Amino acid sequence: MKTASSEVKNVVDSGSSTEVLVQVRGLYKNFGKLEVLKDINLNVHKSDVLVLIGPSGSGKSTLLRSINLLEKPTAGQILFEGNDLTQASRKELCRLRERMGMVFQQFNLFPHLKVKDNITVSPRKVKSVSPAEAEEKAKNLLTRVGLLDKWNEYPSRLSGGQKQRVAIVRALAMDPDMMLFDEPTSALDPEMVGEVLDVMKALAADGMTMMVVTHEMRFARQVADYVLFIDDGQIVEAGPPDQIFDHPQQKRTQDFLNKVL
Amino acid sequence: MISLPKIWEILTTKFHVFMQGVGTTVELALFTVVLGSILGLMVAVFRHTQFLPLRWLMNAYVAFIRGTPLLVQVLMIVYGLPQMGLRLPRMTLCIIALVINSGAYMAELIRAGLQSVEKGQEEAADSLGMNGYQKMRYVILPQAIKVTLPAMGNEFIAIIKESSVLYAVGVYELTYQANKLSSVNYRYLETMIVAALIYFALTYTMTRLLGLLERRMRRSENSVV
Ligand SMILES: Nc1ncnc2c1ncn2[C@@H]1O[C@H](COP(=O)(O)OP(=O)(O)OP(=O)(O)O)[C@@H](O)[C@H]1O
Ligand SMILES: [Mg+2]
Repeated sequence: MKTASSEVKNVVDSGSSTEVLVQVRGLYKNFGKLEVLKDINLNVHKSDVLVLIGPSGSGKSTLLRSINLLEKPTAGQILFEGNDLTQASRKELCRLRERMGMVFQQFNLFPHLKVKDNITVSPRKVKSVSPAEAEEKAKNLLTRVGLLDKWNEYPSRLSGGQKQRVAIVRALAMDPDMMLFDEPTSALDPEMVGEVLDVMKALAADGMTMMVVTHEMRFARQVADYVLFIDDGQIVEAGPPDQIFDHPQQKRTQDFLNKVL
Repeated sequence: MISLPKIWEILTTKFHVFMQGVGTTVELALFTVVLGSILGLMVAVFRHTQFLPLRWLMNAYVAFIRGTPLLVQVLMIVYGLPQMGLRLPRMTLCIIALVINSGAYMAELIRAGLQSVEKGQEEAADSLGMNGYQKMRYVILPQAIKVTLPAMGNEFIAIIKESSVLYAVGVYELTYQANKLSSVNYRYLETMIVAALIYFALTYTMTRLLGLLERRMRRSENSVV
């Protein structure tokens, strides 16, 4: 049986036979004196769905936000398709971020833009896609999440669940190779959680590479290929969902699951 | 004694003189608010950049303008620039002075607007691969301007009033015209009351118009959040 320390030293690997998309190496993050991430080593394989669980303040968001460098690592590397984001120039970083969509707890839709412009602004301005092409793609995506009728609305006219679906579409419109979700359903009324999770399930089934921070344990069990339990800035335990949920090896994992399940 | 008939008489017989002044005052204010907004916008954006020397320079400019009297700034520009060999029409010099002054105040207003935009907006733009310019142009600035617009309207009204200091450099704006009239008719009080009433009519109309505009804007997008 592995001990906690050997578990931490090793590279956690999501294990599929597909190629590796993201490599995190020796990642540390401090906020002032506070050590939030301590030596994270992780491989994310293409098409894998990784779900990050753990107590509040354990560093889940910080880890996720380090992947696309919204948080600048104190030390370590983030390699995306072999490119080290921590060494990238500003311009290269923009190019790499294009390929990693992110969905936020608070949606962060652009309130001054209609739904259609929320979705098309970055393909048009960042990727120089023609307006017609960007709109067609946006319409297809909106249809897939059942929101084509909101095309001309401002975000303020949408429910929380609708906002989050539009936010997912906005990220998808950039044709990302990977999607990062930071508690996408935590700000939603309970009756709207399902509609957002359904979109994410469909995305996972489509083969999207995903990293999801969530408290939705049922979703994690259903959709995750790999579950990471994070506590105190470290990956304490990782494995396929049935292993983590049914046979957790670490005391901290057991305690956490006893509390939330 | 104030003579009400005299006020009426001055207003009606010298109407064209006042109107000439009003024309100049409005022209000055319009140029200033438009160019001042552009200058303020540039200064505010520069103060947002990572390039420190530019930030310091802009901060110093804003601090200097806000910390010195408008009249002194006007005298410096209107007489100072020609002394340095820059021969420009008096009106142009006055507009330059007002724009430099107003730009600093506008920059402060726009900065407050920029700071009011939620952090998540910038993160969303970053996550979509936008560069600094795109983020500012398509995400942050439009929201900041919307928040700042009412305050910019107030600044326009302030400019209409403050442009009266230009009478000191002999520009034929409203205060100058009134002053000139009263030095001929010796009815200082009545003539200045007429001038004040015209200023008030201008600013009051602007206030109402801006209020209307603001309400319409708010209605058209049902509150930004
Ligand atoms: N910008 C910041 N400045 C200072 N401290 C921060 C910052 N962001 C996060 N922290 C701290 O880092 C630690 C980890 O935060 P993080 O948001 O990653 O936790 P989390 O696991 O996502 O928690 P939650 O489940 O509550 O979202 C916390 O102690 C938090 O207070
Ligand atoms: Mg979090």
